[in-house]
Amino acid sequence: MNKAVDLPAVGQRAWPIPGLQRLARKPRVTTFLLILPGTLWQAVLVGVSLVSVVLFSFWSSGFAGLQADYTLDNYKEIFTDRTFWDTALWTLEVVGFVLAGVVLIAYPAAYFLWRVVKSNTLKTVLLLLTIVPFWTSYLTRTITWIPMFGRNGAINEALQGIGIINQPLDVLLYSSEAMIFALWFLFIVFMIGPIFFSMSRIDEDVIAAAAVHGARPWRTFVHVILPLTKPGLMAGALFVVVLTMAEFFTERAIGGAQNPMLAGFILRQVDILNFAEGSAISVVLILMTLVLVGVMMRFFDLRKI
Amino acid sequence: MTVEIDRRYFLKRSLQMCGAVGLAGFGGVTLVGCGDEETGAAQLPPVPAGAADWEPSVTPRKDRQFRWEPLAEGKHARATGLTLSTIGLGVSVQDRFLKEFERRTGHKTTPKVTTLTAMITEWLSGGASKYTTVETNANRNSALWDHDLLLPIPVEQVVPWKRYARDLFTSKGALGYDRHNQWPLVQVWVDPADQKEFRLVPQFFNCDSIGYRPDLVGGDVDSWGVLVDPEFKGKSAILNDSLLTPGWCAGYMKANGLADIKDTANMTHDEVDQVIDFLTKKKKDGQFRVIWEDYGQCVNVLAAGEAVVTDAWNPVVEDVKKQGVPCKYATPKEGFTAWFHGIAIRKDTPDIEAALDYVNFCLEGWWGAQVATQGYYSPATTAKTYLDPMHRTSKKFTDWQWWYEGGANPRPKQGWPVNGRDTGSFDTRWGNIMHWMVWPDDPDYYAKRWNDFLAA
Repeated sequence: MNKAVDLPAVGQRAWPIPGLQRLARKPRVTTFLLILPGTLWQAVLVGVSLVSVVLFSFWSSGFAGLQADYTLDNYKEIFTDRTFWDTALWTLEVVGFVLAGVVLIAYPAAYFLWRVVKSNTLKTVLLLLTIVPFWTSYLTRTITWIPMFGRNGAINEALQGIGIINQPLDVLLYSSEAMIFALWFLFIVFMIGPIFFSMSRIDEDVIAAAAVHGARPWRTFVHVILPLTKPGLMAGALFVVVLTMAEFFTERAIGGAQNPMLAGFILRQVDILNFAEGSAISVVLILMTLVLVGVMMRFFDLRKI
Repeated sequence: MTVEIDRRYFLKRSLQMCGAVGLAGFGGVTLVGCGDEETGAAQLPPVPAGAADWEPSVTPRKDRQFRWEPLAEGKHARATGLTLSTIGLGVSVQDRFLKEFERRTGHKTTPKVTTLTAMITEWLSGGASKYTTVETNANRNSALWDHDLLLPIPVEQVVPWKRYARDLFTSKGALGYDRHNQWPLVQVWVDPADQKEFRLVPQFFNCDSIGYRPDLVGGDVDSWGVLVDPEFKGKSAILNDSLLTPGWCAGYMKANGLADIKDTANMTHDEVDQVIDFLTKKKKDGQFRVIWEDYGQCVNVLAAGEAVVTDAWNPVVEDVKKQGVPCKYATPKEGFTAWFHGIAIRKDTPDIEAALDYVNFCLEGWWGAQVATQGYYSPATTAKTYLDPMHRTSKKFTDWQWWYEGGANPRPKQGWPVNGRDTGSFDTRWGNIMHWMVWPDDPDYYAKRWNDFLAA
């Protein structure tokens, strides 16, 4: 008996692989197959790692390695440690300072690009200039700050040369202020692009309509432009918050390791092979980050970006 | 019928699948990892004939006795089909060393350079099977030894050892031997009493102190106390290490009657508290300009004058000098802090011959001569054979005279420049040891209090 053959409809091409059209009529199978490669990738690189960290946080460890003895001791240790809470609070403060600084710098810059710069070519060039430093490694961008902001660095030399200061400013390097300053400029690339692109999507007619209805420029900005750029702000804020929470290198290279954040806490546990307690702190850090993202979603549904 | 795949559906389904596969994957890995694997120890080759009479020679011998001996310029040993896969720090795992090893022996090499923590972590989490040897600090070696990952190496297999080993690694009467902790013998030997098998074959060693800018300090430094001296407030830097930094501070406080500490290398909780509280007060007073993390940062900090005094590794000072900046290594009256690095062989490596050839290569003399200009000592006196004719550091003094005998100054010399090693001869340095950097009984407490210090 001959098998029925799937003939293409009139005007359509035949499916290149036999049976594929039949498969396409099973949407759940198709969905599964389409998301399988990406899911496997995520599962291996993210899922297994995350599950491992959570499991290890309930184990004990020391010089002889990890023991699967399921205990709450690691969590008791960190939750009863005053330094842990102080460091967690400081980490949140740094996130706040960095986010505020990045928004205050990026928003006006994006607005300038959108409203003031008329030439599309110039817009592209200027936007590219904010992204180009991102093409170098994070470590290189951080380390280049040292010869600029050190006691004998370019900035201090210039300020002393002009006569603004008599002694070099120590605060420009190896201080918490220097660390936050460096983080503004490291993370600004994540904010300026999303804000600019959300501004670009605003219909000029909407702004014109606001003016026609008697709204002054400031009122138009607050009630029309700002709400419409919320998606870009929130997208950028998401990046900045998550990256700052995990920050450890700038804290050491620019901050002088004198104001450590939670990620540095984890590293110091790993240094002495205490993987279990390091995992417990990692779990707490992940939960804190998820809570922060959750709070942000109360202001804006990030799924709409 | 078509199903709309919107972002919400996609996120929900893929997160569910991700979690499920993640759990299954972890379960699978655990089951596989819990398997009762039988791994046999590597089969040791027979003890090489003529080993007892071997002598080092800079000039390649016509009929080489061993693969790792010097080979005539331009020649390359025939390929053996064996591979040495080694992991270690950048100071010991270097392309120039491994290329010479390949040339002499015909073995292939696969190096990996990483940090101490990363290499131990990798070995303990199942990564050991990728390597033939590990080049580690002795205080971390116990972690691998206690996990039964390493092969005891019969002393006869290390040809240069019998006649050329330094007594620091064989004798309790040697300069620098710590009677209290029994270092370094207890880390070198499976049984220090009979010394028949190595736990860790010493590869290079040194003792640390303070790097300083004599031009900015206005003189010479002779105490660890300079790092906590208010005169250098805001100009002092210390290493971000929960074990090493409290160690030297304990030595300083004990020697100056500031604390009652029995063993500065392995402190009790009370003793750690005394040291940390002292350092915390200094930190709050603004004593430290930076708490440095890595080698390059230390070099930059000293060279740029961000700090004028810092606890430092010897090569840091040498690298600062290479930039034309006056920099010296101090001889502290409280003593130096000692350490050694060694090579250990993985228990069931199939490339045991390559591993033993590498151990012998590192002690043959050439390797030791290469690391000498970084300030490191070789545990075998074979390096003298190579260093005696060399004048890489000074026209007047041979490299041996400079790096081992102190050049013009077997005792540390005041002022700048110094025509020899800053801290004097080998005997001067090793006769002045504060402690060896051992792994303490409770490193967790050190780390906990160190976090308190950093967050203060």
